[in-house]
Amino acid sequence: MSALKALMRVRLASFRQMYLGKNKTKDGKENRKTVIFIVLIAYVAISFGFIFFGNFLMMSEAFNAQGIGWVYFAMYALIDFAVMFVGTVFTAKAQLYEAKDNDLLLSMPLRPRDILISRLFMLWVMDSFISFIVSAAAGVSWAIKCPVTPMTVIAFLLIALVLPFFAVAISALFGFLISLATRRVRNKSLLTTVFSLLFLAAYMVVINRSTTWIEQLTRIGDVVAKNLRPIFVLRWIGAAVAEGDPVCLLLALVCLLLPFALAFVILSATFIKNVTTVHTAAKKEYKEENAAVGKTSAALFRKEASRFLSSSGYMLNAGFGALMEVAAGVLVLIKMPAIELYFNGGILPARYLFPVMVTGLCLLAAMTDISAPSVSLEGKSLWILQAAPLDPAAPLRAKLQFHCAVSGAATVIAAVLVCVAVKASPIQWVVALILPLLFVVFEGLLGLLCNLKYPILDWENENQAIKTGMAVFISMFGAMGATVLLTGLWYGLSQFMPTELALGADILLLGALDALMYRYLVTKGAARFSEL
Amino acid sequence: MLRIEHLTKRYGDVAAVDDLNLHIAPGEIYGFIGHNGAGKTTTIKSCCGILGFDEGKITVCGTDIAKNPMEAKRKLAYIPDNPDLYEFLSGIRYLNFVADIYGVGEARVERIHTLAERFGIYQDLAQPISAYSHGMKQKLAVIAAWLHEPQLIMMDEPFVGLDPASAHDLKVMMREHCDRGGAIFFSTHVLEVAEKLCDKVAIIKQGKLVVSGTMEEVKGNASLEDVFLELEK
Repeated sequence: MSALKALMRVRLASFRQMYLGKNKTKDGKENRKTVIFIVLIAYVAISFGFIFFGNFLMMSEAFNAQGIGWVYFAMYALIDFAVMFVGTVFTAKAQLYEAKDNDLLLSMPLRPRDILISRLFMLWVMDSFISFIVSAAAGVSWAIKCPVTPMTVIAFLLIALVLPFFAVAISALFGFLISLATRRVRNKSLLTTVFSLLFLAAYMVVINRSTTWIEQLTRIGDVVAKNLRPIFVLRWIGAAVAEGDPVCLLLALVCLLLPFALAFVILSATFIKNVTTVHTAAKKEYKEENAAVGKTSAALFRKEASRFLSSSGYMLNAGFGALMEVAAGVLVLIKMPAIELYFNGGILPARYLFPVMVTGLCLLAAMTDISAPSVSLEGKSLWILQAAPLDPAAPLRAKLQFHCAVSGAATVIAAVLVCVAVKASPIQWVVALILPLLFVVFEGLLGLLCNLKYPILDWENENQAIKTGMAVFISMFGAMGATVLLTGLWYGLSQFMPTELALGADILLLGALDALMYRYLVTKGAARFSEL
Repeated sequence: MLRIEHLTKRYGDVAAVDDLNLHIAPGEIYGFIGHNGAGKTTTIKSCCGILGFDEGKITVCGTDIAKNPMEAKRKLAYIPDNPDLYEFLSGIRYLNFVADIYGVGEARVERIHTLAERFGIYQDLAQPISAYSHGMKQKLAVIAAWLHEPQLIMMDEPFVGLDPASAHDLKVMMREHCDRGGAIFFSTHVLEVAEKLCDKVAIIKQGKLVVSGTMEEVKGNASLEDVFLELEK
């Protein structure tokens, strides 16, 4: 039992380390990071809680009025399960089938079952947290609009408690299938990125459309009830909570716990085989080719590109903004008539449409922070650049160039789409391209300078450098703050001059700032880089 | 080839290397011995230009590493104690990267072929480094070090992780390099290897040079192990 407790403590510690970093400091930095993390989590939880609350409120009133309260709780179970599944299926894959510490743990006098329990426990904790948000929203929505009895409350609490076990079981199954599909693939990170983006896209569609869909569902409650009735487990869950039926409650609990019990038995029986079988992609034999001799700067740039493309975590976290920027450009092009309504007699005068669009591009460019963790990502291989006969500024230039190449390409595409959408004049085309591109350079420089100031070189998992670094936090929010200043400047000046000219002041300011920051990077920054 | 004069490197108030003097001449394999934390890695990293130092002077083939690091680094190669390479590159892409950095032209193809065949990893060059074993990474680091034909090679525990055949090959390569007029400066804990391989040896204790010279001068009729243990007391 003490071994199991120790394993669970290790799991919790690794989870904590993933999000807060591992450095224990005595100067209160750790406490500050913990507080910031808790505040962010609370913010996300409350935001999602309100979204769910709004949707559940619509359903509770409608389904209760139609006398099919059980459908409400069946829908709750479905939604709760779906959110938990999306939230933890990749973690299940990583924790259950691809954990890095299996060899170490199996070499210790530990029961494999205990190792498995500690991993399932972490998944259950994560699922329970997600479920708590959904369940709280569903429970409160029902209690406000519909009658409750002690039995229905007990039934709801029991179902809410047991649903995460069911989600863990299904996540374990799908985690296994995804692991099976990706283990022999050569470019695993790209596939993981594609999987993640597909999940994210599906998630965004569901979140955006959920209110409409639920409105439609509440109008056809009888049809929904007819379709859900044959799915016994949903019927039992619904009847157990809405009607306080103890038999249905018992049947529902058995149905939700049985898959978990089965998953546990199967995983226990196959655990050692699962974690000790080596699965590698088919070996690619080397075929000698003529040397592609390149310049130092090109070699450094290619290295940065390979680093980026090799890591799904890096691509998703630091490069997602670029994707969003292009998507936003397309959205602007499609939705321009609706957007124009806000400016033609709407919130702002029409002449502000163009500067708002251009500053919006800057704001989106601030979300692409490829350069911010790039120094940290050198990690233990930093010696390669330090021992090489290189100007210390050269690797930093390559990092900046790569940031600008990715973010700049997305910015140009988005700027072109915006210009087409607003039917920009020639001068507006120039401004729409120059200002956001200068901002891309600014974001790249800010990320690098912050990372030189706050590097994390002793990471065990690269996600620590990518997600938890102070550099990432400061550069992203600092750049977002800078867009506010730019907006203030053009808005203030536009009271006295045309908006294009006011944006010209932004260009001058940003250009000067970029030049100063670049100068600082290749002198003081380079000196700092060689001392890391 | 490598001249270290009054080298002092401090971490806070602690002197990791204290007034160290060494001279490695062309054609010499120079072993650097000391207990853990004696200052071996700090010395080697200072000589490579990875670490700055507080006092003293280091010249590589006549070039001051502090004043002209780029030129000095072109003449040397360094292999760290742990081969932390770019795991996201394949072996061949890593070697091409190093070749580009050191300005090795078309000659790289033949050099890579010869060295990779010698260490038995030629067929694995297309594999990502993340799939390599520790020994394979060490072999790749050795190949990368030899790729630009440096005059001086500095290695920190180079035999760790190498299989016996590869360790033998490395020793042969070290001797061949010195026979061509190059020099090797390496740290090791394996005293038998140092005794058989090195022309000269230096023993460092708590940052200070305790003894240095030819193998015969240092150990006389005793074994290097006996001398080392005696000096460590």
